[in-house]
Amino acid sequence: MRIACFLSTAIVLTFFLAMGIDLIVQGMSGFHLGYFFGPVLDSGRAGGIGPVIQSTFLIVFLAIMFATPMSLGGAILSVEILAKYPRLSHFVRRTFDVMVSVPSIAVGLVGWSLFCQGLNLGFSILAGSMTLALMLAPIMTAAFIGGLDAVSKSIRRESLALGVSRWHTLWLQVIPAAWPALLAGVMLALGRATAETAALILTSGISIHPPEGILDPGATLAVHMYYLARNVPGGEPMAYSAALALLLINIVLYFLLSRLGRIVST
Amino acid sequence: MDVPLPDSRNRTREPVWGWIITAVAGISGMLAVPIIVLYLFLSGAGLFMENQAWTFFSLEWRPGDEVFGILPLVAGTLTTAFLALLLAVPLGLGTVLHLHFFSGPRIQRMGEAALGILGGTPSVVFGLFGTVWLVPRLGPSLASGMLVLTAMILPTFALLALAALRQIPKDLLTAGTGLGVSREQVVWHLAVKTIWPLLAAAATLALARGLGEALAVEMVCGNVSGIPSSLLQPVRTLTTTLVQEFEYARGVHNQALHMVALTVVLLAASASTFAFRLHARKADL
Amino acid sequence: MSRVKIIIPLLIAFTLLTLVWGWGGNGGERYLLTGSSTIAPIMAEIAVRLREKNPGLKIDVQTGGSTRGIADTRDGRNNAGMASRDLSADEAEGLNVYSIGYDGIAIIVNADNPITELSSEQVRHLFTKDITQWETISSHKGAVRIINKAEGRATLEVFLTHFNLENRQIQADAVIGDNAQGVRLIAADPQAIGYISIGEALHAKGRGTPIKLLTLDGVHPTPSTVADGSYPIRRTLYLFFRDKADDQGKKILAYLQNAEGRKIIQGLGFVPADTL
Repeated sequence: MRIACFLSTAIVLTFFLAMGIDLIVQGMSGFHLGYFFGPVLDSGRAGGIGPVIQSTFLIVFLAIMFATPMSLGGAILSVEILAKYPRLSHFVRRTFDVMVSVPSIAVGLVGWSLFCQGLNLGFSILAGSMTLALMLAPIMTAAFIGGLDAVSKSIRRESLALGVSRWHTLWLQVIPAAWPALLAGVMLALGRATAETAALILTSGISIHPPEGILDPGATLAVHMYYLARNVPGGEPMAYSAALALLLINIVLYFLLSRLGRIVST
Repeated sequence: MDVPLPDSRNRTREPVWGWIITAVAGISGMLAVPIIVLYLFLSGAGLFMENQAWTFFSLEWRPGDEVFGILPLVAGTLTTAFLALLLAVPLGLGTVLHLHFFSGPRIQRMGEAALGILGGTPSVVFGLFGTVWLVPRLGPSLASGMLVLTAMILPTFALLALAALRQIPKDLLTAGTGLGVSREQVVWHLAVKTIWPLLAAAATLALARGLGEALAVEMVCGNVSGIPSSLLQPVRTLTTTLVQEFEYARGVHNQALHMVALTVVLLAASASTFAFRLHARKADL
Repeated sequence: MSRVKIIIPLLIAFTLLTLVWGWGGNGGERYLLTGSSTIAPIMAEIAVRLREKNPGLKIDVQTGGSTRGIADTRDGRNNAGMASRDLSADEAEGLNVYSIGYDGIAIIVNADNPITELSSEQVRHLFTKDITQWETISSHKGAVRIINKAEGRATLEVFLTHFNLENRQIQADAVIGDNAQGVRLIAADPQAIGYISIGEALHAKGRGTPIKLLTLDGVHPTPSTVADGSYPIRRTLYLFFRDKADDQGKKILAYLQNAEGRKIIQGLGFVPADTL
C-alpha cells in the first residue's frame, strides 16, 4: 500500500512538473520585455497583454469589492446575529456552501440575461464583475465564517462585560482579531477570480483593446488565453504564453496565501 | 473601588440600523442561488408548453430538427464526471496519504504546493494541454474529456482529503503504533476508516465541480451528442452544449438550453448538498 | 488598526471612482462585430488598419457563427453582424445587408493523407460513413474520422445544401465551431477529414499547418476558381446592420470596397466583392 501511495504521489508530482516545463518551454517565446504591458497585436498572435491585465485588474477588483459586503454580511449573519438560533445559522451557512458548486457557466448565463440584457449593460466589465462577485461570495463567506468562529469567546465576553455594545464588539474586537483569516478569504477569492472563465466570457466578453470605462468589454487573462487557444487561427503559441503568465500569478498567490496561513495558525 | 455595572445608561449604543444593513447584505448574498434557479426555470419552462416538449425525454439532441432530448447530454455529463472521479479519488487519496504519513516535511510542503497551485490553475489551461497532448493521441473523445476533468478535480479532492487527515487526533495514531500495529494498517484501518465520511464528502464536492465544468471539457471532448460506446468516442455534456449553442439559440431552442442549464445546476447542487450532509456525519471525531 | 482605517476608505473611494468611470460614454468609440468565424479574420485585420487612421475607433470581433451574428444584430446586441451564408427572408427583414466578398468551402484532410481529390459522391459516402475505411478509396490506411461543423454555422448549412444531405445523416467523430478548431483537429489527425472556408484553409496552409485542400469534382479550391465559378461550392460573405449603417459602419464598408481593403481580402484567401 505504501507503494501505491508513493506511485500516486509520483504521478501527480510528475504531471505537475511536466505541466510547468511544457508551459515554460512553449510559453517563454512569447515573453518579451513589453509582454505584460504592451498592446495586443495581430488579434493576439503577437505583442503583449497590457490591455488584458488592465481589464483583469478592474474586473477582479470590482468583483471582490462587490462580494466582500455580501460575504461579510453573510458571515456576521451566521455567526453573530443568528448565534442563538443554530438552525437558522446553519441554514445560512448551507446556502452559501451549496452556492460554491453552482456551475460557473450557469451563473454566466444568468448574469448575461440579467445584467447584460436586463440592465442593458451589454458585454461590460461591470456586468462581468457583478457576475464574478456571485461566484466569489460563497468562497469568501466560508472563509469569513471560519475566521469569525475561531475568535475566542473570551474576547467577546470580556468586551460585552465592559459595556461595549455587540456591534462595537464585533467591529472593534472580533473582526480585527480575525483579520488574517478574513484576508485569507479575500485571497482565496482572488485566486478563484483569476481562474474564472466561463462566467466572464458571457458577461464581460472578449476584447483586445484597453478598457476606457467600466461599460467597455474586457477580457481577463484566463478568458484571453481561452480566446487565443480556441478562436484565433494560429493563436496557440500566445495562448501558451498567457497560460504561463497565469501559472506565475497562481504561484505568487499560492505563496502569499500559505504565508497568511502560517500567520493564521499562530 | 466602585466599578459601575454596565446598564442602559453607560453601555455603548447598539446601532440597529447597522445590524439591519449587515443582515441585508448577508441575505442578498444568499439570494443568488434562488434567483439563479428561479430565473432558469422561468425562462425554460415555456418549453413544456410547446409541441416540442415531448422531445425533452427523447434520446437525441438535434436542435436543427427541433429535437431537444436531454438524456444523452445528462449521460455525457455523468459519464465524464464519474470516470474522472474514479481516477481522481485513488490518485488523490494515495497522494495525500503518502504526503501525510509516509514522507518527510520537505516532500509534504512540495506536494501541498503542487496540489495548491494545480488547484488554482484555470480550467482552460488544462483544456489547452488537452488539445495539445491528449487530442492528437486519444482524439476528441470521452477519454480526453475525462482526463482533463481528472486534472481539475484531483486537487480539489486531495486538498479536502488532506484537511480531513489533519483532523485526526494524533493520539489515535500513536496509540495504534504503540499497540504494535504496522504503519500501513494504522493508516488504513484507523485513519482512513475514521474519516471516511469526510473523504466521501470531499469526493462528492469534487464530483460537483466535475459536473459543472464547461470550457475545458468542450475543448477536448468532441461534442457529438449520443451515448459513447467506447472511451475513444466523442461525447457531449450538458455544459458543452451550453457553450456551443447558447449564443445563437432563439425561441424554443433557447428555452431548451435554459432547462439544460437548470438541470446542470440541480445536479451540482444536489451533489454539493449531499456532500455537506456527509461532512456533518463525522461523529467519532 | 490605524492602517486599516486608511486602507478601507481608500479602497471604497477607488471603487466609487471606478464605478463612475466611463459611464457617460467615452472619447473613443467601441464597435462590436459578431458572427461568422470565416469573416472574422478579415474584420480583425480591417480593424487594425482602421485604427491606424482613426485612433479612437476600437473594433472588437467575436465569432460564434453566422446564426449568432444574425441573432445578435436582430436583437441589437452588436453594432454589425457577419454571416457567410445567405440570410433567409425572415432573418433579413429589417436589416441592411451588404455583400463584401465571396468564399468557397474546401474539403480538407491531413497533409499525411495521400488522397488529393474527391468526387461529390465520394464526399457523401464518406460523411455518411458508407465508406468507413480510407483503404476503400485510396492507399491510405485507417478509419475515416469525420469532422463536422456545429449547428448554427453557415459552413454546415452550405455544405449540407450543396451535397444534399441532412445533418442527422452525417456520422461525425467530432463537432467543431470556428474554422480554426477544424484546422487544428485535422492537422493533428492523419485520418480526419472535414470542410472549412477556403480562405481559412489557404491561410492556415500558408502558415505551415499540415493540411491539404482537396480537388472537388476536378476543380481545385482557390480564390480564382471561386471567382470564375468553376469551383462548385461558393458562398457570399455578408456584413449587416440593424439600422442604417452609422458612421463607423460606413467607414468599414467603404474600406472594404477600396483598394487597400480588397487587397486584404485577397491576401486572406477570399474574393473581394464585385469581381465576379
